[in-house]
Amino acid sequence: MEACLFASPAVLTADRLAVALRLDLPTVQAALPLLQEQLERQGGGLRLWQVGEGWQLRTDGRFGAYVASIRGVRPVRLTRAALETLAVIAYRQPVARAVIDEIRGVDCTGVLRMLLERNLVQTLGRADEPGRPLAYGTTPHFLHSFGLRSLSALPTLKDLRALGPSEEPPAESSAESSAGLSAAGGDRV
Amino acid sequence: MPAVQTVHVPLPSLGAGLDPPVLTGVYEGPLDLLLLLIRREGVDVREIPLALICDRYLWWLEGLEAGGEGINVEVAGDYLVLAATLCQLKARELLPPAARSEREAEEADPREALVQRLLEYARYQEAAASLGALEVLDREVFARCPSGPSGDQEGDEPDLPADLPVDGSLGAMGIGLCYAAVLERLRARDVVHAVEAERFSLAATLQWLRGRLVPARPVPLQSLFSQLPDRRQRLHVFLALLEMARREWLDLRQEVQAGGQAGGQAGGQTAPVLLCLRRRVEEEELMALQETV
Repeated sequence: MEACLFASPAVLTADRLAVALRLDLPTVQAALPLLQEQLERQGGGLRLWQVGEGWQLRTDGRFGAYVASIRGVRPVRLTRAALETLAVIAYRQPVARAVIDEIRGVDCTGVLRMLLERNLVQTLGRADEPGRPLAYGTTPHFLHSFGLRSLSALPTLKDLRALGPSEEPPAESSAESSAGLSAAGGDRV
Repeated sequence: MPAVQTVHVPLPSLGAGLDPPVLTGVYEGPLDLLLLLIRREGVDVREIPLALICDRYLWWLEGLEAGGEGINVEVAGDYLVLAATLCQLKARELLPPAARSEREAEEADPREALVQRLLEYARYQEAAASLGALEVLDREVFARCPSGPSGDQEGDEPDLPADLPVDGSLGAMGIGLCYAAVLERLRARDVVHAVEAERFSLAATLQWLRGRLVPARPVPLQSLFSQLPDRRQRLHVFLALLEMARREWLDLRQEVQAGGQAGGQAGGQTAPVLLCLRRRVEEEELMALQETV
């Protein structure tokens, strides 16, 4: 099974593995997580991932930099704008562009085109809204790319009631900003 | 999430001739900037000190204007809309509740609407951050074959995207990627295309027509067309005739048969269209027209 997974150029479904190994499907389905565990325990360079509808051997994330240099490729880059747009689409799909623009407060045309070109996002027909705008959703490649089993494996979208602590270091001159705060204190409602 | 660099901006004091701040920073839009300002001031999003935040926001915008190598109007526009919203909220709060019109009172609280938008956006920012923290294929982790449309250069044929499904559930984008790969392959073979040169031009056609039409001597359209074997040439003649008719150099006439319509639908036969030049077209006029077409 490991050999088949290694030699396969793409994500392998349990079905195809079963056919190749001349085993019945339940046996293969039971063995896959075992192999996954075994590789994890050994702590070697490879991990078995369950992505989308199948399984794939991938190098361990710890060695990403080395593997990238062997490959001679620049690592995939996703800007914050791209990730934000992707997040809105992933959690809200099918979603029209106007909704994405509204949530992010900026025009997303360029980012959206880039995501479409990278095959992370696809059109899912037209939304049942005035003007019948195109509705966007994520692709199977999106699941593969982010190593997700399905959309339900996405990190849960938190219900924010208040903004969390700033990810920024506190303002350089806190005295000044607190002075500003008290000066403007009367504005609080 | 990439680090956002900012320079702390002191509030402008009254009368101080301070230059607007020049800020370096990458913001993903007005909501992003506003969120950042709120977080930096450490205030509750539901209790935004409007004057403070509004001032800082405007101050930042001024910096954009002063420090920018030219402003992208579209981008700045987005920021200005939010600035206007903030000012509007502030103005609204300065008014005593009694002074607000009934219509305004009935409307949903605009401040609450802004707060909801901010919180919604913050949720997705957080979601984006956790997506970005995942181990992404071809970024942290790698599979046996490159995925994605780039492909490797080993084989003599460009690769199709590695994880296209083989079961026919190929989406529109998958087909697009396949098509791109096919085009790439064709380009590799250095195909030479033969492109037929444009043989007719409207300008030349006008010249040709001028030689065939004489004032006060009608010519049937059909007889003109019968001299032209090429469909594209006929099309050019037709366009040239329309242009001449528009300039009132030419009348298009059709005889009305007794008791019938000009179109002759009833009689089954269409009456011939006659082309009548009203007057001689001068060379200069023709040249002027040729320049415009």
